[in-house]
Amino acid sequence: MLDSPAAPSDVELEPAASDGETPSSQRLRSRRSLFTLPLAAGLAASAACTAPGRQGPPPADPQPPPLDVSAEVAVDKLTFGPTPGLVDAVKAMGVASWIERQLTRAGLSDAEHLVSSFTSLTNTNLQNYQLSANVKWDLHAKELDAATIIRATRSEAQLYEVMCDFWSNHFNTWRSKTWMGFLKNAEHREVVRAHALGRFSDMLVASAHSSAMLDYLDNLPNDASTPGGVNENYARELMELHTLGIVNGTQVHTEDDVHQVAKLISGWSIDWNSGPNKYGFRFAPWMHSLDAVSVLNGAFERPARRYGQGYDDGVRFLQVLANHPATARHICWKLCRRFLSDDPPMSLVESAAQVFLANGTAIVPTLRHIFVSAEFAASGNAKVRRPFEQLIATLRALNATFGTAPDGKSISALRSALDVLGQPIFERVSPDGYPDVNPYWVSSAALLERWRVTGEIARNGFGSRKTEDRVEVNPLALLPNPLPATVGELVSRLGTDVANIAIPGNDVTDLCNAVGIPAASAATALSTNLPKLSLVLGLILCHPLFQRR
Amino acid sequence: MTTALSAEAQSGISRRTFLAGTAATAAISAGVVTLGGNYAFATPENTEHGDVLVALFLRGGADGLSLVAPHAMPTYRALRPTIRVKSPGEVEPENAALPLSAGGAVAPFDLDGVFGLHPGMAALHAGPWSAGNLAVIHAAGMPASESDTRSHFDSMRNWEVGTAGMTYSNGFLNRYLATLPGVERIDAVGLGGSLQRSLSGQVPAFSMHSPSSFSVRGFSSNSRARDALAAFYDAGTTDLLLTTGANTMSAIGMVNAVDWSQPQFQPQNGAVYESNGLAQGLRQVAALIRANVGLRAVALDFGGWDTHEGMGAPESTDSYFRRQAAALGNSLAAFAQDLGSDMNEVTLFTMSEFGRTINENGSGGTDHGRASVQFVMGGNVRGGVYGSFVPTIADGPEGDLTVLNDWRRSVAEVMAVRGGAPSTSTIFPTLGGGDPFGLCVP
Repeated sequence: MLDSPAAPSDVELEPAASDGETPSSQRLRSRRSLFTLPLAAGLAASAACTAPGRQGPPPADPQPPPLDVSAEVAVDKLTFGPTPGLVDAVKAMGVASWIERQLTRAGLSDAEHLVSSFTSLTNTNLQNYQLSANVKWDLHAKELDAATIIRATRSEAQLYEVMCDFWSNHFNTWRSKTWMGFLKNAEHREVVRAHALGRFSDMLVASAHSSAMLDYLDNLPNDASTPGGVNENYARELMELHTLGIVNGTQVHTEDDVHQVAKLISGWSIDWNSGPNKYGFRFAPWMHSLDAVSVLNGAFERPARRYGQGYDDGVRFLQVLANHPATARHICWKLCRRFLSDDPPMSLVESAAQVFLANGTAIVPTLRHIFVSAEFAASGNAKVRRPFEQLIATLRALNATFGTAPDGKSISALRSALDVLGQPIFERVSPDGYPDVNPYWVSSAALLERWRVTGEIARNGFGSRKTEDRVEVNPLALLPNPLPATVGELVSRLGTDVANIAIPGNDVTDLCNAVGIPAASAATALSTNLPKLSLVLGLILCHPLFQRR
Repeated sequence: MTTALSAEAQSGISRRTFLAGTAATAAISAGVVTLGGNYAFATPENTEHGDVLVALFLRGGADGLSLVAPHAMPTYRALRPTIRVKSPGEVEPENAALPLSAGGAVAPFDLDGVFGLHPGMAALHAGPWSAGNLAVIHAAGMPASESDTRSHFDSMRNWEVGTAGMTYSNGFLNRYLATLPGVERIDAVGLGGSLQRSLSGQVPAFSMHSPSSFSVRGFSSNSRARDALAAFYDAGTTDLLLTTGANTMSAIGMVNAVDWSQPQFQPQNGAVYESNGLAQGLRQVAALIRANVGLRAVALDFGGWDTHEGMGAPESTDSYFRRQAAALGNSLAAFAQDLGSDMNEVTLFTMSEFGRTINENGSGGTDHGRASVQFVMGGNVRGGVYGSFVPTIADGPEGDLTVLNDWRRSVAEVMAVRGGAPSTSTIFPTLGGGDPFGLCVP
């Protein structure tokens, strides 16, 4: 492999823009200025500001209906959970303006200053290999996990972080599958964060050039020159999971398409030669099949090729895939499943798919179309928060502070909690990503662990009760001012103000009884009893309504 | 309770009544508890109950042609140059195929000297196979007439729902439990952090990591927290989150009433479990069975079978597939040894969403194929190889071992003969007819 011929000249891989993750605040600032739009611009007006599709003029979202989603639902759906005061702020600003701001990220502060010392986030694959080999073998993993927790908790660009989570699962790679887990960080930056609110086709192309993906789905040994021939793993998931999909049992690609596409992407590999691109993408013509290929009933064809050719065919095919109607439907179905419900209305899926195609696979107009729909407004509480969402929501609701050192007790405890909760970050084994349907996450063991972690965080000192680096909660700071008269009223207020939920009256009474302070008692009976106040806060966050969004 | 479930029983009322009498929990709401995330179990209340059924899903598409290899077939040898299991005489005995023979009265094909168990599964061969408690059904899978998908996710869905039909969404194990009389208490457990789809449905099923960790923890007062949670999570609705919470609170009392540190819940009969997840899961299952909490169905998973590359030579003890095969074989053998005579009331069967291509690919692995192999193990299983197989395997147009034996035939037989299911038509609505294999002693 090492003395193999150099990559042909048709390989011109532009490194994907990494603005989402660069620690350089200057770049971030200038980037944001590009996005500066009138904050309260009407949705229709801002729709026109989105990049036009490559196929023609953007035409868009036909007549956005009046936005009728409530601030409560919008905050629950577009963020990793409410922070104290957020719902009121959204109401003051106007829900439509707030959603538009989340879509464009105009004027939102991010959390990059908190992760700017994590060098593995900006390193090349080669640099992260060296970090792993020479400094600490798993530092890249700890830094990326820490950054993911910190960004989800602290960034104001919540929708962007939610979408990073969504796409990271859509293009899932399992970090621990091979010895090259250090490839994950560049992939997350150049595939997910660079394009999370960009254009799907760009993200797909970036993913297909990602060393982590090519390693994970066995395209490195996809070598047409071997007696056994091509390896189908990536070809299959490229169509089934990343693009065309299987929606409600309907599949457009065939088994023969899988064989054909495996040939088309044979030789998409990693550069093993010494140099700055080591562990980066490389097209290896000696591994590439030169056969003629016809896919999807002739929707994509290429003739037989000569040695050195063939890479461009793959790039062209990725564009066909990204812009295929089945892909649009599949992506929009997944988006609606994320933001609405497990079984979203197919009429909305179909109309969103039209917007996706008409805008050249741009993600923002597609999301905007979904967010202004009546179906979205009516979908409150239909989804159960997944463990990562629930953990972050708990930290945000309690305004918890925690140490940000990737090696520290706080981050270690939070990472471990996600292990036990069944959603360790970047460790989903199979390429479908963590399931985005309620039944997978609702079971006895899952609820017991969820309740345990929530209770421990609310008790204060999660991670370590002895050191400074721990998850810190100040329950007194969460009390309403002025205090309401009774404990029952106080519990209700904590429900709305902290958790963004309206706890039913009988549950308020039962909760007061369970902790041993009757609801009719003066509110000070609870507000001055710190252990019981912590217990109450923990239990409010275990209420069924706070498990939903 | 010896006839089919009444409407009242199906609504869960009788189960609630039962629980109210036995479990000292604050909120008694449902009768079947799923413990933890990856196990589910169930137990009968009537004395003539059937076996505990253990469904082990080998996730990723297990290569049946390595687990049970037609090692002497020329086409097998030709199409798998580096990964084939060697015949006895080609390599040392401990690294060659372990001989198998036809089961019971069924002699579907001449397999003398042709088929063998993977050499990594020596413990399974020396134990359950030699004791006559292991049945093997090859060329098993979902018939192409119903679905020939090679998608992991589509196929797992079809297997766990028990049909490719889209009108069903609950799990086949749950529908099995729904056919049983006297389902009470903790009927179904899925081992692990989330409940397997095969167990999801109307009959409560519980996921658990382990019975000893099945409790409300983490609060400054866990008993107060339990009271509040029991009030928050209302039974009597159709909402999944609320009913799961309510069922969990109900089951906690029963599970916590057992002192899991007692010696009888440790491995028995000299059984030693390895540290891998499958072995430790089966160890928990054995403890749950001995605790007599009402278990009737268990689901657990063992992954790592999506071997697109680097399977390695079977005679090399540290090759990837050999380690997988050994983990499977050793775990099953330990489970059988641990349960001893209790295995007479336990039947375990394996599932996998598909097998793999006959031909080895260019990366020393195999891609998604069609048929694989099924194992059925139990004290009342009649050992042997069952079902149809092709006289010679060839790399057909799609490079597959054709599905000749519907995987649901053997499971339906186990459910009817050992599990006591009065009918399997609602469990496997699209399963065609066919003579029984005679896998089990009634």
